[in-house]
Amino acid sequence: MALDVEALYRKYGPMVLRRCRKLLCEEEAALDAMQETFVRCLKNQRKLDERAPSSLLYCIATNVCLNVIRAQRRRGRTLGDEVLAEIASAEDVEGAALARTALDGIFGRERPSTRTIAVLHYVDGMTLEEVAEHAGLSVSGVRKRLRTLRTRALAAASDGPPALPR
Amino acid sequence: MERDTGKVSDLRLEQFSLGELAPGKAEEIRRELETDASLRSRLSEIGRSDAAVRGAHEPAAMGRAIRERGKRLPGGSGWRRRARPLYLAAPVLAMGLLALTFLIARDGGPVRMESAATRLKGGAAHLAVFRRMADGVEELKDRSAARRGDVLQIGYQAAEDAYGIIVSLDGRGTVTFHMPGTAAGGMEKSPALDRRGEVLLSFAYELDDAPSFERFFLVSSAAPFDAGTVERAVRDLAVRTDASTAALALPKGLRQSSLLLRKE
Repeated sequence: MALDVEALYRKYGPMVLRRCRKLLCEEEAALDAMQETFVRCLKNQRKLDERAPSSLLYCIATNVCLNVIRAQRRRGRTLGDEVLAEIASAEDVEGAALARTALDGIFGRERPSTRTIAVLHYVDGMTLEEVAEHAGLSVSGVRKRLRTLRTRALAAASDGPPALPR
Repeated sequence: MERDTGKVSDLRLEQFSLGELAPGKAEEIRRELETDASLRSRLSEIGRSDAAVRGAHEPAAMGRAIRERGKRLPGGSGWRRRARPLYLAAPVLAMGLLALTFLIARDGGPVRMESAATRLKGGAAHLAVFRRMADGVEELKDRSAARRGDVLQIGYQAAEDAYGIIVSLDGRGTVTFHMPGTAAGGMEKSPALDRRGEVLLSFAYELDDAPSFERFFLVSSAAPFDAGTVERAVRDLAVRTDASTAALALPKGLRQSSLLLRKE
């Protein structure tokens, strides 16, 4: 059955837009990111059946915004705040994933990225338990991902201060 | 940027506002609201914002805009490929799949796979279709059986061709552009193929209940060509009784390959 994107937007659009506004701090970019979030839902309709739409949309919106922030940073422009920019630019743990994981990702089965998890924890102030709940992971899985990301960020920031909060 | 300092995260409060919290958690929020004025203020602001957003960006118009954007995005821009029947390339692709090292797509872009196969020089471009299985991924050969709900990933290897279009035709005669994402009324040009190796499109494709068959085509060339040319050829083929097996009638200079899936 086709996804009723209008109904989905009517219910969740304001939440998604608020999320994008908060992360990007720019109305035009936020609107664009909101649309992109729903487009990704259209591409991965099955996922909406599997988890609470609000958690999923919130995580997708976060990831979309991080991509925007990272792209802008490459162009010498910072959207959002510095911690966000550091997280957005941090090497994703999934970047070292195995081949099958990559295909799973393309098939839309990917879990929220480690960068998204980092934002939920470091920026939104969610507890590890809350992050685990929203991301569909175990608490130990969240902790492990954050530890790995922090290690990589520290290694990458050898000529500067630690990029992520401890 | 303002950070959440309270005990209730933004997302939790959004879910409370949406009525999506489990009864126990919703009750916790209600108790917090009784004593926390700032939390009440945050909740009121969500209500005001909801109305403002729906007023400023009306759902019907936004729904259309999102759907249109969804049609445009698959396949992206700036890359294209050429094809050859998968059954010819299957052994090479199978080897490549075993040996490949994936480069993860950034920003939702295509994924490039590097494998033994990608280092081969010359030859025609080819198409590859993979199916998601419960325990992994299966590469589909020409004339493989498929059914509604199968989730497919399309890929290609450009070889020597520089431009290409991937399109599918089903048993109902429906034509779907996968790369680029739309023919745009025939105005769209064939995107440039990524010639650095095997490439997966950045989205998956779920088979619907169209009967009989699903057939994928990769049309490629050394020079750019109009999507409209391909669209007309596929639509002409769609009305023929041998649509599942006949070749596309294409202008000189365009090469084609196809992969047929038999619907069960």
